[in-house]
Amino acid sequence: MWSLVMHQLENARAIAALDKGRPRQASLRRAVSTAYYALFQALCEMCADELVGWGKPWESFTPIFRAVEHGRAAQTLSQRNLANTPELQRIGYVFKELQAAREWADYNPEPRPKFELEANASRFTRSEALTFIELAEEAVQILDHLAAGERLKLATRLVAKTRHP
Amino acid sequence: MSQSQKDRDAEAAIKAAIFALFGPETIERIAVFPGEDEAGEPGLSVTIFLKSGQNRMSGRRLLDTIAAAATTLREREDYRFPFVTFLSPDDEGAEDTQPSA
Repeated sequence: MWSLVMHQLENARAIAALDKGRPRQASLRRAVSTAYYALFQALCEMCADELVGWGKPWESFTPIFRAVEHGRAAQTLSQRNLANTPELQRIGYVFKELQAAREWADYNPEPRPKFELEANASRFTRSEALTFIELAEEAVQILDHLAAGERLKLATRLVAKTRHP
Repeated sequence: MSQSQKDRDAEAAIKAAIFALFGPETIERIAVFPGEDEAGEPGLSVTIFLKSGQNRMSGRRLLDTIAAAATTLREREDYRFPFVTFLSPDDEGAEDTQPSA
């Protein structure tokens, strides 16, 4: 695991556990967002490493690292002709779940919609934040253990834009 | 098949898949609601209410649950994503941030 990703996950855990007693929303939101970014940056790093390589100049490495887009990554990871192994499917599931949680955590002042429908309405819980952090870690570990051919295929699909006639 | 029938089928299939995964001793009830994700794509909100005294769900267990729900939906050619949340009566919710008057 790339040390930046590992440290993002460690930071997320530390932030989620920061408040004594009832946690602050700000802490839990930041923890969930950090967990999502750990996975996102793991995907970016995988793409740049596969398609360019760490030993190459930054001017080649960084543009590929930055070519991965949030929305398109979610779409790509859910495409059935790509996500045709359990490992790739599981990475896609985690990305989709975490991306939705991160969008809410970073941008939405309301209680989560799913909770509004229930009598015991709640904001984020500390348990959920900790579970999301572990979820991100699961996906990063799956990504790290993908076969070389699958990593290259995934990297290419995440970076290349498909032309539609 | 009407959308409401499709939603009812999806709800029944998801509940069966999740109860099969956990057994009845862990789960109080499951709530499934159709909705949209942040990109406007159709999705399903799946909230699993745990019985009191359960350990916190691990990330792997959450992933297994999403996979089980997604697989059972895809077997029915329903490609909506199941957004899964576990809630327990023992959970520690975040503080309220409503501005004080």
